[in-house]
Amino acid sequence: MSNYQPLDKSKHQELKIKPIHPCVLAKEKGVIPIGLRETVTACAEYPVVFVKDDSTGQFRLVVLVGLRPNQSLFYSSDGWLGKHIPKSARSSPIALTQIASDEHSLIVCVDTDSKMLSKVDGRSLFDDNGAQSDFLNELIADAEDLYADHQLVKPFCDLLLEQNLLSPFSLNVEAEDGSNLELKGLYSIDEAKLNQLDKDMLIKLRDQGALPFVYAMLFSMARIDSLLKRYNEQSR
Amino acid sequence: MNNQDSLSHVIVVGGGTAGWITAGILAKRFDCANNQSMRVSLVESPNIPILGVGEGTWPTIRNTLQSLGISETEFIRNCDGTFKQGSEFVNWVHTPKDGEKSSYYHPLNSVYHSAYDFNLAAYWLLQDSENRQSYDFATASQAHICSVFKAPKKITTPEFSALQNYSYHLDANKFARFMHEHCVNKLGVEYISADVLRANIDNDGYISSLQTEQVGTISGDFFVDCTGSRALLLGETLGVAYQSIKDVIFNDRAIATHVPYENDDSPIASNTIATAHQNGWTWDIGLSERRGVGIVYSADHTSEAEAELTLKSYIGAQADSLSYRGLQFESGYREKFWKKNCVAIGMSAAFIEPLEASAIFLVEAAANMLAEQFPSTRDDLKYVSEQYNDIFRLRWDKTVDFVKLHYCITKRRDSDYWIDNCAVNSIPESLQDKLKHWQSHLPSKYDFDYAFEPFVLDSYLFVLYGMQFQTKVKYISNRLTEWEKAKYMFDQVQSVANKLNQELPTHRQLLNQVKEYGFSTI
Repeated sequence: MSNYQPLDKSKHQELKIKPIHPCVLAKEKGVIPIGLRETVTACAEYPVVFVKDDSTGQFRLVVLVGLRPNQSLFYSSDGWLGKHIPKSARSSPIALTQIASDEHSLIVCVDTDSKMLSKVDGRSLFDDNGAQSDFLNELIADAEDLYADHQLVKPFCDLLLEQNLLSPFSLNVEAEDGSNLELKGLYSIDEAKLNQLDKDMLIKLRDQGALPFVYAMLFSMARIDSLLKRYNEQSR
Repeated sequence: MNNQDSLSHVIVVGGGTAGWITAGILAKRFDCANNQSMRVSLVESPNIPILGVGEGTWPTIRNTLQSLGISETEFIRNCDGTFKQGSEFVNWVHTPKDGEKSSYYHPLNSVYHSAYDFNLAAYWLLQDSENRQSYDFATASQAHICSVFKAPKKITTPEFSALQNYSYHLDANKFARFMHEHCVNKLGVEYISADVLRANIDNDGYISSLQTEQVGTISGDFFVDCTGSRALLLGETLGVAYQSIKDVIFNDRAIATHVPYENDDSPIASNTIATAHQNGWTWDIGLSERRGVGIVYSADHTSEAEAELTLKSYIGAQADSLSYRGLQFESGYREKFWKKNCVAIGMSAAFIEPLEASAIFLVEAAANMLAEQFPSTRDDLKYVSEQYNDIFRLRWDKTVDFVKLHYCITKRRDSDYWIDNCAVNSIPESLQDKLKHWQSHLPSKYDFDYAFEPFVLDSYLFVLYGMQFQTKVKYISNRLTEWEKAKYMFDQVQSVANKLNQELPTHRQLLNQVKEYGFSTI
């Protein structure tokens, strides 16, 4: 579990971060959330789809990294097996959180339960004078980038829903070993509806900058076969 | 107006639940928002408040709201809506001993219990009556779900879709305002705020226009009377008489109140709770912001003071700080629902006490049929109105039978109220015949063979066997051959109930999620 606390120089001055396997968090995750811009790189390697968050019902943009719930085909003890490591799977104990009272203000938090934290080994978050280290600044910049990219997902999703371009689907494939692999509750671009979209709506999608991501999601469906191939190889 | 002239302007009089549902369904069907060829106007008095007590619906309401283009999330947020999965009938079976509570459910679920395909009741009746589960818990996963205050769906379930069948509880006043907005802004209903003084009749006996206090004469081609029990058009103007059924359904008074929740996380029941008392019954309906609670009773059997006392003792500690509202009604119906160019929908047409929450359902059914069969000219009226009158008379008679069923097979004998309710001469013959037949036969789909039956086999089974009605099984046991299938289905009910119990949020959790996030359309 994680336990995010606001980063506080007085409390956290001695903290160091150990280098750890970059995808330690993703061992049993069959889907990994991504931001909108990340779709463009992610689509070359993973199917990019929407799933619903169990506790809010809100859509999340994710990459599929397995063909069963809680199965990752990309995790190995030697490192991530893909070229693109989904950014939210790159482990960092630093994250940004919204302040409940003000949705525009963000605070930097640290996961005090993270196994990457140490007071002995690793790189320091603060230098001897108590100022933020360059290393910490890099982590914060990454977190900001990740946060901003994730913020783009909801407007994109709302636009697709408004244009009725999303359809639910289940993934059901049979593997070489005879097992039936099923993932339910996935949502993707409905190509037929996209092709019937009237001109004005299509222009609206283009003007809002949504089209590249729409096509990235469509192309990424071909990666289901890559997942199956990977599954077959791993289970031989 | 000529008999071949097009009936193109419909005027609905009355802005309660019946008026707005009817106006909405007609305007949607006629595409009034985009098309000028048909007009729908709704006239509402600025001075007469709507009755605003009907809070229960049937699952048909989901289809009605969805077809009108309403968002389920918006509906729930604006009308204090909650999810209704059926009714729990408390202390109806026999006179409770001190402090005793016994109850049974009439759930809306027909997904895992559809007696049309395979009637489990026979196999249930043959189980050891001392040790078996009650009928509702043995045959319906929804009874289990209701009893633990769980919701019928999850926040990830698309709007209007269900994991367990459901309808809503709603605040009738808020619902009327919500429908007003939607019908006027989205569906092209014209709204006129005016007091109708009288309706004018032409030489052929048709209503030609309304005389109003504020805006003079309003002409129209077809009129829908949604003026409540007053029945200004069908009753007062066209003289169609009201037929009381007081000899069958005794209740004619109610006292209603609103009860706040004790705190922000008090559980919200996902079913109506109907509790029988010595001289009437109380309803208890959980909305999101408050409970709607009231007592229904018969003035011939008890006094208002006594009824209020019963209600207050049901409510408990909070009772003295609440305000109460008395209502009078007479269960009955108009001899015709549709005459000439006027149809009555809602309480103007018929009224039965709210035990099975049939009122809003009957409004939807009426408006849907009117929209589908809407006459093009006066020449069409005769055929359509006769058909309509026949179908609604049937629906009505069947509703009376089903409501009466709850009273007339009770073993309660703690007052004249219950004794009189069980007297043979108070039971419609159609119901007597069925009950006699069911003493030695299992209820079957062939007992409910009309296309427009409002209450069908499953509903009857839940009430009959919930009320511990005795069917002599010795005549049927040798006809039962599918024991393994029955066992499988009984097991399925339990395993589905367990699975849902783990997966589903509580009713209150889901309502909070709807308020915060809302349902998606897919």
